[in-house]
Amino acid sequence: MNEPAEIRSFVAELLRRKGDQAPFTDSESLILGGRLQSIDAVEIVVFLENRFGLDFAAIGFDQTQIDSIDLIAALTGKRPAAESTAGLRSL
Amino acid sequence: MLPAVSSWPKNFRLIPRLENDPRVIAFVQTVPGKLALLAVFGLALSILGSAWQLKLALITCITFVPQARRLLVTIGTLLLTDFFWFNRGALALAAGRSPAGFSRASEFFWIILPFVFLCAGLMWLSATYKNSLVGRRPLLVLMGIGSALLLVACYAPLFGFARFAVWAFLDTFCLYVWYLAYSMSDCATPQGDRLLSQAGTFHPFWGSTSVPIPKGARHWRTIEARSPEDLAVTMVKGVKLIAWCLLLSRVQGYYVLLVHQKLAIPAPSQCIQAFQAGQPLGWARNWLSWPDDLLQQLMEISIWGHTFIATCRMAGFRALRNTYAPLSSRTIAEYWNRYYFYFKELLVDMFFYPTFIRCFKRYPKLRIAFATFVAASLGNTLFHLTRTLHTAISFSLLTTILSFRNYFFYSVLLALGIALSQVRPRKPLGSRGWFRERVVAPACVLGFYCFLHVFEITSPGPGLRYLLFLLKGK
Repeated sequence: MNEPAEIRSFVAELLRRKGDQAPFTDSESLILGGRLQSIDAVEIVVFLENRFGLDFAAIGFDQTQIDSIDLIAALTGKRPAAESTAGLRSL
Repeated sequence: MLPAVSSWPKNFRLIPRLENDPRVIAFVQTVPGKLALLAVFGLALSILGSAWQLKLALITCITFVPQARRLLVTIGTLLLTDFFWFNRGALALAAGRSPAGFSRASEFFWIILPFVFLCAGLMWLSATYKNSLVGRRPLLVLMGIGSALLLVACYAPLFGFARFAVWAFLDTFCLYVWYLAYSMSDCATPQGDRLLSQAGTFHPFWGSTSVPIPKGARHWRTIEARSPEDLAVTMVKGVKLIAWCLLLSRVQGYYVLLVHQKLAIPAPSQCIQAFQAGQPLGWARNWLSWPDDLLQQLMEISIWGHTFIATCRMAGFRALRNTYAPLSSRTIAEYWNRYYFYFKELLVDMFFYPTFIRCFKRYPKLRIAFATFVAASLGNTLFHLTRTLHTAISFSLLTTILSFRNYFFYSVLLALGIALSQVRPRKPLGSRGWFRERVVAPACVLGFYCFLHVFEITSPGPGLRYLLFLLKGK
């Protein structure tokens, strides 16, 4: 499995555990859009530390850095950085 | 958010999903459509909000000149906060302690202007020296400045206007400290906003508390509407939210009438007082008082939070709601996330993540638990302490700090609850059956917060005795 696909698969599993099986695009905002919460962001951080050896203590951390598949892939150096498209909680 | 978790029945909507109708979105992009939307919103805001005329005028300008949005937000914010917000009550207190003749002009030159320079200076330092302590750990720097100010205010031999000015400066600093932390953090990024735009995020015109809603400039850039269609969807959601808010405020009115006037359910503080006086109220009234208070708090926070967010959305920012279906929470951590979202986000951004990425990296559960403790307990107490530091002018600094020991105990219990709910293995939604997930789990979560609330309003000893009385019934 290539790395962006691995990231996508990890995020899909996170969403599935929350009962969210709706599709998502690589540019979709997942945290700021409300589909993932801060505790899910923690799981992504741990995944990135373990799988890609990222050290957030050295590079700094903000939720916006891991808000979409594109942004996560950019962090791991596999894609150019792109902005996410934030959605809204219903109503 | 969480489409599959939406409340039962799944497809029923009290307010329809108008934003998904292309005809509505197309109409809202026309001038009559925009005016209709603004009229409906203005009507609702006039019932719910203060200074609605100015807010409506600002939103109207932003709607028709979206390219000047950030400038208009800054202007509106400065107008509505009277060129930086003062806690007049604290100032009066300071003035009462050391009577001094001071005018608005002297306030401006000795308090507001130095504060503006301090903010601008710190943001400039963050932007210029991104890898310095100011750029990387803004909150640490701000806490250092706040502590120094506090020591000067409490112990320096100051009298008359000087004493008043130092306390007023400290009070202003405390009112803006979390905003400044977000701004300094944003300035340290390559895309950081300019100083004038940052000023618009300081108690923005749609309303806020000591908690920046919705967060700082970096977040604003991510959620700002980028196209006419995007703006139309955001505004429709703003109108829907204020309509829901209006409905909720009516429900709250009837609820209070029913619970307090018809059923005469007492407030929790009355229950505690009666218990401590040795004449406890009836067992059922005691039990009903806590969930009633929780429900009232939920309605109250939802109403003001929705009003802020609806106005923010009308200004073109796709902000998430501050309170989102907390009664459906299946875990303590989920409720904490849904109850006061932007306060939780503040604690997460300022305390949780900085701790999490640095401490106990080899021990996953301890890592989460410790970061949760730092955020939900230490950060939470510190936040509330900064809000009330001005009371140290009347009491000593030590007395003010010690008065927070009960709150600290409450926050430790809260952190414990959140940490446990976070480190427990999470089961996929739908794996435990509808009744357990939709009824039992939310009821347990609400029960936890009801019991916890006892320690929010009374000290640990009497709180524990009162809980025993509740559980034993005598």
